[in-house]
Amino acid sequence: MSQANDAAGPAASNMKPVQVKLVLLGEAAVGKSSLVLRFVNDEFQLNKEPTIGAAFLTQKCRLEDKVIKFEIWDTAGQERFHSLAPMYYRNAQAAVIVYDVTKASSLEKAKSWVKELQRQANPNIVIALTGNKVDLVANRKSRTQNDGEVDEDGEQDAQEIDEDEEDDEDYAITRQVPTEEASAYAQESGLLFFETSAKNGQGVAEVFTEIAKKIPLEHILSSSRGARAGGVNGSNGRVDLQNGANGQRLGGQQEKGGCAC
Amino acid sequence: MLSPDMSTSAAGSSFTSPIQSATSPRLMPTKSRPTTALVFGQQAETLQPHLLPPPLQDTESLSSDDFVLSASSSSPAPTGTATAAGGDSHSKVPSARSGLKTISDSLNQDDQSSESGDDADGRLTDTESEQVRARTRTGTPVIAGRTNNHHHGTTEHGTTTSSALQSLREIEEHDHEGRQTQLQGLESRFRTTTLVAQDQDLTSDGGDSTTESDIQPKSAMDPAQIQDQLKVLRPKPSSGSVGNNSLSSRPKSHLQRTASMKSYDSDDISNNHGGYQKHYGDEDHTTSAWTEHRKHFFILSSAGKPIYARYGDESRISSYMGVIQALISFFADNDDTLRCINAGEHRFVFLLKAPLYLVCVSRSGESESQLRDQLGYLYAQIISVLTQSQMTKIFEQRNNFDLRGLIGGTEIFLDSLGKLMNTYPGFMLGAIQCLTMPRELRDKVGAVLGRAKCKPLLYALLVTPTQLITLLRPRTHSMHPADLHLIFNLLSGSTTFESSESWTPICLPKFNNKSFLHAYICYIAKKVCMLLISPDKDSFFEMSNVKQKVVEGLEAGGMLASLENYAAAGTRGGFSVGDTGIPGLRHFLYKSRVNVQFTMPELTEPYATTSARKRLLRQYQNMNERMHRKTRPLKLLFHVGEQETLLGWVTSGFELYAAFGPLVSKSAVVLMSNKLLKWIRKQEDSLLILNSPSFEKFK
Repeated sequence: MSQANDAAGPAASNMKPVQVKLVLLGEAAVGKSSLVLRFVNDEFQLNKEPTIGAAFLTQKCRLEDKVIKFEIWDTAGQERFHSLAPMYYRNAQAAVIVYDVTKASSLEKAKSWVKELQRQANPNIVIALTGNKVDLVANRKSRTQNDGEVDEDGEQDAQEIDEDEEDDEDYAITRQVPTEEASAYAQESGLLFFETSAKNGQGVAEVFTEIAKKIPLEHILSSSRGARAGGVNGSNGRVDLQNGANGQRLGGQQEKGGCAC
Repeated sequence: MLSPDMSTSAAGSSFTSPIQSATSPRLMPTKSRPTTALVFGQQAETLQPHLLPPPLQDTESLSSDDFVLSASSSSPAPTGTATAAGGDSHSKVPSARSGLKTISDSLNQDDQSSESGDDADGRLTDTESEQVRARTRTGTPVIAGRTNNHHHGTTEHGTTTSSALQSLREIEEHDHEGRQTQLQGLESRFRTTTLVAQDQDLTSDGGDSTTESDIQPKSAMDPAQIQDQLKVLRPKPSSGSVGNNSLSSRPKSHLQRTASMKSYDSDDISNNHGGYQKHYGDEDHTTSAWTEHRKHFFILSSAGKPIYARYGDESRISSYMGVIQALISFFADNDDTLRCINAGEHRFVFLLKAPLYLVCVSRSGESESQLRDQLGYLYAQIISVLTQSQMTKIFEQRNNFDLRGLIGGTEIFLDSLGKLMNTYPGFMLGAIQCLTMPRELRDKVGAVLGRAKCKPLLYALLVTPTQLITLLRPRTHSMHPADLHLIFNLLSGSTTFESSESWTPICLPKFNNKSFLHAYICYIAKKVCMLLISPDKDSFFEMSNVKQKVVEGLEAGGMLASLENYAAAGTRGGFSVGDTGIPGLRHFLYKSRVNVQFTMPELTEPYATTSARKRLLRQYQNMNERMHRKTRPLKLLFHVGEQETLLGWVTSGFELYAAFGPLVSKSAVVLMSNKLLKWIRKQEDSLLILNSPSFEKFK
């Protein structure tokens, strides 16, 4: 999926990318930023510092014959930023609501986000419920398998996991949200459901692929002149978002690694 | 040779308002400044030797057996007397101190010269005497603890501490013997490892606390009451089970644990502040590692709820918060304000900004006002997250509100601020540092920024995380250094901005502490960060567009690459002291008071290590404190220390602090300083931003 970015160059010239505005919501420290950074830059940082305000990232993907440009608002999970959230989800076509599978309270917070979105956001919004940090619990369930994955990814942090978890069996982090419970909730509320690990990349691409599949892209394309009320702020944002140079530039950030410029 | 600048400084009396008040006046509670003078004045009047803020060298000899409470009095009467008697009392001070200090005679001269003549000659005798004094010290074969930054250069002469000594702990006795015998310099080095959290041994201060009555003769409080109060608080620590309840008392076994605990570097997960794992966050406050920290910061609500502790988990030290609150309330009951407690090595400084109380417990040797300034910065950091009005409103509704929920995720910035204040002289100087780069480039970059302006843009800044490249502003507004420091701290404190474009509300307290501005933050090159500040919360994409234009403009002019190079050089220090071509000069700080900017060269040998850097900064801080002391501001200070010779020079236009090798003569230092000033003048264009451009210029 991430190679799609390369294809976006020449291919995009004869194919206008579909812009999908996506917002990440969820409790603090569940891994929203890590999820996005895995998706956009394919990198992972242990002990990531909290997001301040909101971060804006873009990523182009190719889905079948279309190029999709995700414009992602990665919001801060802290309570004091809650009042700013409507600004980010107001015109979003998709939302990823993240919880932490090792923390039951984070699912409760996720549910309250779902309610808020269903009440206040765009009625056609595609919502994906995502349980993150499954690497922590997979580690306990089937250690050998997971170790293999970690090695594959060449995680430099592998040692730190060892220290954290393998020293002491009892200290191992337990899953607090069973897959079935969250999955059942997602089904009854009409949400997409995933379990991911931003750390080893498991399931991350699927989240965005499935969202892309579910969004009525044709509809967006045809109505992008009008209905796709762009950006954070209606009119101004739209003009800027469709500024070709701007788009190219942001889309190209992957090559430069961590620097979003 | 000093004459050109001395003439400007001879105008002189304006010096009673030190630079801090000029540059960061609003950080301080406006009332507390005058009371500082008042307390010092009273102190002088009462001839209590320990009441004068101890000069640089004497910190230790005084502090270990002193317990001083200085509280500002609410009654206006002492103010008048104190200020009126000011001149006389100063000259009496030395006699009271004579048994204690070698400093006394030189102090005498010092006072007289500062009181009477501001002419250059007077200054020189002043500095000469200091020089003589310092020389005699360096002559004595004492080696002060090397690892103990703020003890550097302390070479005490026979300290008469006999009465207090008895009640001091064994280790401290050991320590004192070391000082008294003077010959065993190694003792004092040894001390740095054994002396763990030198106790605020309240019990040993009976004598001194009664002198408390002299400090505050006219205030409503009865010294006996204070004594009682202290006793009431004292049993807590010694009462077995909650033995760790007080900052003071430690079981001996703890005292003897060595400094190896200092290397505590926890990656443990304890309190999970939004994913950020606080360094030392897991530290147990009952261990010596915790008490050993040189500088603690505590923030609590006026209802006594813990909000922040620099080390350890703030919720687990809520009992300390209770003690702090009790102390503060006691004085508040008498319509008085607790400002500072000097106890042993430690200084407890209080900043009361209802609904918040900020407290610093430090043995770093920094002065009361410097520590209070730092508390002010912490307060400003909290305001920048919440705004003053929001915070006031919250606490009006519920005064037992737990603020941690609201500032959650920003502890990282309080932590980084604490760190930055130990390494970055800008806080002490109330000035900002600019990236050293050619003026033409800076102007060109500024022009690109200026042309990209859009309507909702208020300020546009390019910074390396702690140095200013350029700042564009509306003609009618400038940006206060204190606000810029907050921005620098925001950028250097977290890496979260490096990976994307960010959009965050921020309150710049000096600009307007009641409302939020919105900051667009994006790194446009390695170490080059662009900050666009707008009052409109919906203007992200406009800002993003401005950034786009600027990046294109810079790239077109080939400026981005050179900016990146200068930024990389700048984070190392910009220029080296060798560039000045002055042999013997090791380092300097130069602050332009007009531009509220400072510059300094790269910290190279012998200041290459973190501890050496810290030590140098402490030296500068001590110089700064002495030169700006309310009661006796100095214009020129020549200080011969053990490891370097320092010159402090303050005029109406600039402040210069320069460090030379330890064996340089005074005349050579003066000569070199003049040379240095000439060099700075020549380079001023690239070292400082002399003409901060405004947007209007580019219309």
